[in-house]
Amino acid sequence: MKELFSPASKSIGSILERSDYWRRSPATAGGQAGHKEWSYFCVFGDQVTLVANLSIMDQPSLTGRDSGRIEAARVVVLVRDAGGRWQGNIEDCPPEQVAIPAGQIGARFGHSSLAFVNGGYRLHIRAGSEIEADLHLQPETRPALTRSVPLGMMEPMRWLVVPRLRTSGEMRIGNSRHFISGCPAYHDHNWGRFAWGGDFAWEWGISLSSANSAPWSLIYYRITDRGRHQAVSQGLLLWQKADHSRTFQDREIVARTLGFLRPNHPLRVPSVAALAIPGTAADIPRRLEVHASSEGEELELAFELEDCAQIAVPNDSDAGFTSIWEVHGRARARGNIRGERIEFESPAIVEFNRAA
Amino acid sequence: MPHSLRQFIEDSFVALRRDAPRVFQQLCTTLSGRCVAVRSSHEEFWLRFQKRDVHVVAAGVAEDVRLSIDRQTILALVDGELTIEAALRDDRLELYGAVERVTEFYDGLQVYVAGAVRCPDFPRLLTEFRISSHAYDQEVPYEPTPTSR
Repeated sequence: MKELFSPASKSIGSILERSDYWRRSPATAGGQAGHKEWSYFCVFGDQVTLVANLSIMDQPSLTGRDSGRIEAARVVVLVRDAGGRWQGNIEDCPPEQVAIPAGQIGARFGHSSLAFVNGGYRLHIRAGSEIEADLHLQPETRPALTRSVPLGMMEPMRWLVVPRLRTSGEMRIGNSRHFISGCPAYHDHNWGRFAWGGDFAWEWGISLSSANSAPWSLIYYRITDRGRHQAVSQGLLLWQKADHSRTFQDREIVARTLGFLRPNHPLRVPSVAALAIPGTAADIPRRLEVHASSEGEELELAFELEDCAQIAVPNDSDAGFTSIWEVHGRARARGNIRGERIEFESPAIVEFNRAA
Repeated sequence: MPHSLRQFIEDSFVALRRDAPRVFQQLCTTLSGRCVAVRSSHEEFWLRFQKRDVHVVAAGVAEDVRLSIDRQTILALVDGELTIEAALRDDRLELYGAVERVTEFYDGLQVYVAGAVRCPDFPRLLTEFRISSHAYDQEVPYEPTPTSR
């Protein structure tokens, strides 16, 4: 898996305008079905963590039948308060309330919308009557694009990542208002043609040091086969300020998990999935450690995981579900890169993809 | 127009057949030859599962499993506010039948939900059912006639 890093000569905004746009399903124009695409944001507010995912996915049931409606547009919204309580839901957006122009970043998903104005994202989220957010996210790091994320037998997924954005705005959760001012956030955009429930699993985590004179942004990923017996690809990517600083890959990385997280009735969306996936078994570690070293440089990243929410995604090829766990925790990074000492702690989100 | 539970179930089977045919087939296979009596508020109907299909019938037939549940409990389960275990404990959901048959029914319910989340029409059906359920809030609970079984 090779990352393509954006040139320093161009502004971040102009790079994103040329790369972070909606591709849309080829099936809408008579091409192959199976397209999946989503735009993901994670905002680390002082009191609230927000995860928002705007997605379009081809519906296997409509393949070859109704190409105009083949894409299902959904918004997943999860919020976590300082006490570790999660709320959220999945909204299926009626086709008449969806506008996703191919080639543009802006899109409307039912009551939620995304725009790109003056080099920054404007994200408006409304999830039911309980959650609303109006956020301005200003990219602070240059994006990276990976064109070869291997997910099973089908074509690889593409992954565009903006590791750090500076966020301002407001969130409302029930009757509580939370003001966001200069908080770090993460964004990625993924697209490709693969099958949920295929021969893959993933885990990735983000750790963004607090805004200071030299903010560090760290992304860890690991893709394995579905049984998680073999790592297909893994990496640890580091940015310093706006620029990519270092990538460790594959054999340069040793990852291990310790213990099990035992969540007490974790939030599960869609809520109806609780009837099909009963119980509270999570298959999530309590701690995830990543050690990377190469050519005299090394980096250690440890995630202490605390609580989680589960997104249940129907498998494409069988009646089972893929669980995508959004897990909140703390990250601690230590290392030595280009002669510079790195040591920081931060809140973290780690995502685990587990097909059942 | 109020949407009966029976209508909702019938419409959902149509959606499953059309949009999740493999799951629908799995549902029929899981409960093939079984009959489930459903009682909810003013309604009573029977689900007769065959190898490749299911029929909703009004006339009483000998059931393998009898299910009693009100509409608010159905919505609480769908919304994740209530687990099946809690609904059973609180007598909001009643299941009668031989243990093996009840276990089969539970397996079938899981298959049904797995199909439901794959049907693009399900959110609309559920919304209609939810809206119409407000009209049933004040209704008198179903009282079975003495002729039942």
